[in-house]
Amino acid sequence: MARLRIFVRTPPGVAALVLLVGLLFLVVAAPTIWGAGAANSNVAISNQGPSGAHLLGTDALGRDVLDRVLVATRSSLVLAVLATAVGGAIGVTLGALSAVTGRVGARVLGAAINVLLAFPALLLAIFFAVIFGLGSVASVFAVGASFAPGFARLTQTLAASIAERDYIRAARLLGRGRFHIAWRHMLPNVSEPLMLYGTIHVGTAILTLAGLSFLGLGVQPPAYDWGQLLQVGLSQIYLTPAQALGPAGAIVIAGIACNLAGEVLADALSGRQRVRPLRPVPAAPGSRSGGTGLLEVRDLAIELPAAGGVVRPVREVSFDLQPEERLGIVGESGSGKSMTALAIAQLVGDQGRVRADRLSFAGRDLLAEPAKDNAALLGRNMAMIFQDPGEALNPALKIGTQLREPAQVHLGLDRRAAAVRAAASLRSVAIPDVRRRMRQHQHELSGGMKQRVCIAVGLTGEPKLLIADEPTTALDVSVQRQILRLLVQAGEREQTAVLLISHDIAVVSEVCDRILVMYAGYAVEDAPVEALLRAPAHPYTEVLLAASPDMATERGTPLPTLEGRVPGPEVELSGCYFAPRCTYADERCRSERPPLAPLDATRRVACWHPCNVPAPAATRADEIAASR
Amino acid sequence: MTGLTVDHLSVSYGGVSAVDDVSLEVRPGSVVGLVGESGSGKSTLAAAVVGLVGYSGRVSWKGELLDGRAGRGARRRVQLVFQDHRSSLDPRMTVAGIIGEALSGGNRDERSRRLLDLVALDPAVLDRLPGSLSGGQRQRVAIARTLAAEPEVLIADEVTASLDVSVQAVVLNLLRDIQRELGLTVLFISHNLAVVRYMSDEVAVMYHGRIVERGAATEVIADPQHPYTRTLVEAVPQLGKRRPTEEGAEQLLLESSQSPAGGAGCPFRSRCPVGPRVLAGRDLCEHEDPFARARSRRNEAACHFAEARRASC
Repeated sequence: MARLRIFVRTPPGVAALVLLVGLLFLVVAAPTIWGAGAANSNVAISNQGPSGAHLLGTDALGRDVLDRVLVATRSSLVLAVLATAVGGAIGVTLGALSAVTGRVGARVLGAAINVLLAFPALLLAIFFAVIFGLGSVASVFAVGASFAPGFARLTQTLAASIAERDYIRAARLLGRGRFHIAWRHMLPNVSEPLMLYGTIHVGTAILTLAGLSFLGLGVQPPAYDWGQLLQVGLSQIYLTPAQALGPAGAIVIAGIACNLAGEVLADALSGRQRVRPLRPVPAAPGSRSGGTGLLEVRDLAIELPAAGGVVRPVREVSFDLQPEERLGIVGESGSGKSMTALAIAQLVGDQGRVRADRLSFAGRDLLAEPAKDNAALLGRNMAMIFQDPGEALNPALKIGTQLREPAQVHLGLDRRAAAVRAAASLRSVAIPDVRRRMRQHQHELSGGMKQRVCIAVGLTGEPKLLIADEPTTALDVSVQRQILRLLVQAGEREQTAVLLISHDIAVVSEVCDRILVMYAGYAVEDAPVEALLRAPAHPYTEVLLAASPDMATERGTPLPTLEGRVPGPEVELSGCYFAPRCTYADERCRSERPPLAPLDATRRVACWHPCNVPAPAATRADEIAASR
Repeated sequence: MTGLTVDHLSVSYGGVSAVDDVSLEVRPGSVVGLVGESGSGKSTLAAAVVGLVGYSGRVSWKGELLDGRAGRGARRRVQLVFQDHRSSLDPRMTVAGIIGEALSGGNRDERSRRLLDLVALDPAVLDRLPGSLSGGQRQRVAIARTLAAEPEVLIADEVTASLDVSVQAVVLNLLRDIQRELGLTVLFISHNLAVVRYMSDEVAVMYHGRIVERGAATEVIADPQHPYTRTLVEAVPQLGKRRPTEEGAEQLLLESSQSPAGGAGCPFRSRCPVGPRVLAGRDLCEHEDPFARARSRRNEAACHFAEARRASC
């Protein structure tokens, strides 16, 4: 398992591994190496303190304490693992039973588990030890039984959390029985957290067993484990403290090893990996000649740290946005369209790295200035709305408060003026009954209302640019239509440029003046809406337009499709990234990447073989030459 | 011969009605599309038909009742393809295990390969785990598993909602081909009217747990009788269609109240662009439930003024 490599990659992982290997070595080899010393009694040197010959001193029969602690590792650990295994077996069985016994059975089992969980494990262990009697075997079962309720509860909770998963429902539809489902689907899918719980509980079992032995209920002489050594040593604690501290230290070390291993395992299983943030690149001097656009993006690339190095969700994106223009960015998942928006808003975060030949907004070079200085400019002049308006609004604050804030911060208004301004922006997004809405919280509004409020919040600062990232994907079509109309209105009334990002080219085409098509982190086509719809130049755009059925699609004919998948952000190709899925691709496409080049005065395309080019080739070449 | 018959089916969760007295018929070998917005009850209806949630009413296939007492064989004949390809496949099972589990009888390897062939997947995926497949591949494995049960009825619940458009096209083409090849009876559920129109022979429109209109797909979409259907049809985004930016009274009405009206009248009346809040003299909508009258009409639009609107056009 590749995920377990974390044990040799991180400091806690290495520490856990070293401790575990050391303990395992002792379990296997200690009785052979130090067994003689541990058994060899010599009353002449009884109860001595630490010395060169006996590092931890000797016990009442003159046996070496260190040797005995080392040898006891085997019995202590083996008993602990066995006890955990017994507890796990009983608990998981009980927990799984509650998943297969139906509603009444599950209730009864659940109640029983709840009652047992109310008692501390050690108390249960003592109780069971009294019932099962003295000795190693009895104490293993006692500790195991005391662990069972915890395992049962965890199994039950985990099983309940996946009981309504579609794959379980699918198995039920196929007529599979409950035992089959519990065995084939539930247990394999809950095994990882259970194993983790077990690992950590080995540590607890060492402590509990030691506790039992210490109380005289566990391992009986002449056999011994750490707990028993501790009990014996404690009687001499004022004379030769090392006799007690030795086994105590062993217990602590073994406990730490198990907990450490458990935590590293948890990290590995959850896929949590510590990736090193990328070092920021100093602003490179380059072609930084300013243009007239509101937003200028030249050769934007974004790199993010990943387990295997660096991934590039955005590879090469260039476009301009004029004031009051509405531009749509269209692409499928993995195209990098949302990351592009985040880079423009300077929201990529410290981990990632944004490179560009030029990234300017309202005349300011965003990459050349420190991020702190950009924040004020962007906060006031750029607004962003997201797919899930419920996430974007603060659930604890009233709508009115959230609307007032941008007016106070960005426009410098006082409280009263800000409130008036807030009411006006709510009205501008066609929310009726403004006074009541201002006093409400977000959960009292419908999805469409929330998105309206988000737009109102964004518009309060009178921004020059409104970025909307899939603003209607989570909404119903009738609501979607209203939000889209609002975006158009906002653009026209407030003289705001709009950057609309969507997977749905039909949505974008209803709102925008121009469309930028993205694929695998590249801008592959950039054209006015009418031209793009009439004659898409990139083969990908062509498929994108025809693949989704609309209200006029011929019902008898199959839809055009693409085989394969979008190359991920970790893939490096030397040629065109669309070539592996493209029907027109040839050798050149696979080896040489086409740049985003002008096709005519208004269109750009990144393709060696653009389709639907209406004019004769010679004329087109002239056009290209002219536009350069 | 009768096909899949849903008769006065109701489902409620803790006193809240999710599906309210729905009756529906899917003729053998035909595709009926079920369309509606989120919360309209279409997925609950699907879950009820296959028996995943309890319901009152009757569901039968070719005259045979499909309830708790129906044999395993009868139940297996009606299968559901789930919406979310990420959760519908057991992440710990290989594709071979997933499809093999659905097969009964011997020679599973050979038959698994044939099923993968049917959904246009390379047999090499048999040894892979779902996590290593793309979304479209996973959805095709899910369809192959469904087909392994040799169903006669397929309920497809938003099967392309979580897919990219180019992949959606692959799955839609595949479902159509399989439906024709195997003569399956399909209930195709989607919020996307354009997709439903493309896939279905007939369409049923759900609003607030009820079917408000149904009829031949082309007719319902070309000439919707119920004002709610008309709202849905008009709201479908269309390539390059610029819409007027000023909103009329109807739009403001639609957004002012998203929740259905209670009481005895029509549940859509508070949002209805041709209802009592807009037009005078439509008190009928406030007092009388239009569903009682709906059954007598060909297109069965549950609206008091469905015919009147057509006459006025």
